[in-house]
Amino acid sequence: MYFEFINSVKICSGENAIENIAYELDFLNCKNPMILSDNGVFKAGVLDKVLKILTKNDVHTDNIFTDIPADSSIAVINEIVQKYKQSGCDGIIACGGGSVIDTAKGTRLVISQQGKDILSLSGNEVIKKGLHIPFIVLPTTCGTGSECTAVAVIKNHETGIKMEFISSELLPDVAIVDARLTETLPAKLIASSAMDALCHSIEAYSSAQKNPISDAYATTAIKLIVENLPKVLSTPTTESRQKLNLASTLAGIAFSNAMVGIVHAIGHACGGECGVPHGNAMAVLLPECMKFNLDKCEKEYAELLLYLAGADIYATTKTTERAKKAIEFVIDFEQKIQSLSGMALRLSEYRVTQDHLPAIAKKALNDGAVIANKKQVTYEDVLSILTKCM
Amino acid sequence: MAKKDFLCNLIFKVLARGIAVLNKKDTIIKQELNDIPENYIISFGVLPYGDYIFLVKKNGSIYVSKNEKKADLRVLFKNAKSAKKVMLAQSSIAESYCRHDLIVGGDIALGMTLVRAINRTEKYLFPHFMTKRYLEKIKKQTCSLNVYRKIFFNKLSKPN
Repeated sequence: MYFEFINSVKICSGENAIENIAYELDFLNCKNPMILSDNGVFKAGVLDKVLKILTKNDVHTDNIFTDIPADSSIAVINEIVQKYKQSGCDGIIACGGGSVIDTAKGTRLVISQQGKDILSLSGNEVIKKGLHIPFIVLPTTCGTGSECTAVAVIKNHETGIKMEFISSELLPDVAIVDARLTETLPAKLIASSAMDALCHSIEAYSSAQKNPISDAYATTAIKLIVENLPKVLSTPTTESRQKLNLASTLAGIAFSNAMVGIVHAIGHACGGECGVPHGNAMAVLLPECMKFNLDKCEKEYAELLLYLAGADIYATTKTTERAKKAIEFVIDFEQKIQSLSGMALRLSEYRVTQDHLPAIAKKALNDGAVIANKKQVTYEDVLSILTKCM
Repeated sequence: MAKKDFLCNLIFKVLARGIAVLNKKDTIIKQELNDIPENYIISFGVLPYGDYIFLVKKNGSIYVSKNEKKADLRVLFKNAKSAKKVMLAQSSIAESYCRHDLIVGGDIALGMTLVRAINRTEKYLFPHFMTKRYLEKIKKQTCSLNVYRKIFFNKLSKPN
């Protein structure tokens, strides 16, 4: 067996984590950061919490860019790079969800690679070590795990193609995981982003690229999600929020090193073709994809029953029944989350029609996540999974 | 200066020529490679040397080329031993990717198309017992001997 594992990100998690941002910036020799966020995070007052702490600690907060679209794009990155240079910035702070963090990763990449064409850097492990640009991330959702992933997806609006970048050069220096950053998230968003994190963990644990270290992260994340997501949706406490946020970070580390599989491949295609929100697509597709993968991932799913359902159910379930029981647990858990958040669990409820399915299936097969799925998947297989999810 | 590995070079040639032949003989490979844009260049190679051989799409056909200025999609193995494992059917290209044996420069979505084309090509190039562990659900459309004959005797290089 051979595997590679990397996570160089310092994780500051828990009570008063945001307060440490000034120390971390100072440690990284960053005095004039470019602060990236989006208008949603800005209007919700989340960015303000960070800015107040920065101002209090005499960190420059003049360079703020919040005009980041839902899909990170090369044009926006180039605009930010210009501003970064003009303002003499010496580091990047990203406060937001997946698109803000991916945009920040792209911006840092362009600056650290000293003007190399970003198009020439797309791919897997092709980026060479560049200049060190201090980079701190504050995730404001509890699902992407992007603060600890070596992946970024950036859209080239000229060609309409979403380019994938996979490199350890994308990893931030510090991730600040603080419950205050997600306390204004509506229930539906919490549910969908946490289901994304659950999916990251399950797919990472059952992927062809799994390894003992990524397994440890994935199983811990699963346990935290199962225990805390219902609490956050019904009777949220700072502790349950914090644990859910941490689960998302751990799931990010797991899948950044073990990859994901067909749930993500099909989910990305559902998003690209019909605009199905990513986390919701994950929730809809996960049970059917687990059923499809069952014959190749039986051992892994059986092991996951322990983390999903707990020791009692694991111990009282026959060894041969554990994998199926794990899938049943996921279905029941999703229904519980649906009743708490109102999240829809059929593709048809996201305006996906039968006519969309062939295009989704074709797109899914070309997604990079397909390669790490233990079971080989064909166009017909994807079509069949999609039909069952309608 | 780094030198090409003789065996890797030979195997890459057979694989590249196999893909070029099967683009004409296998409808599924043809369909897969239809997604690749015209004048697109794919390279296979081993580090530290770099690109060993190129596949070029021109007028809908796939040609093999020894020298091109720059590939749009590069598949480079980190060392010759890893490359041989894949090229001698001891490991699938997907397994190799998951083990970080290779790096992919360019559009990863087109890389997935290429992976499927390579898998299908391997089904023709190797006997069933060698590939059955990792290649499922692939039914050949023509005889392997026919493919090998064309690999060794047909002109598959890029027209000027």
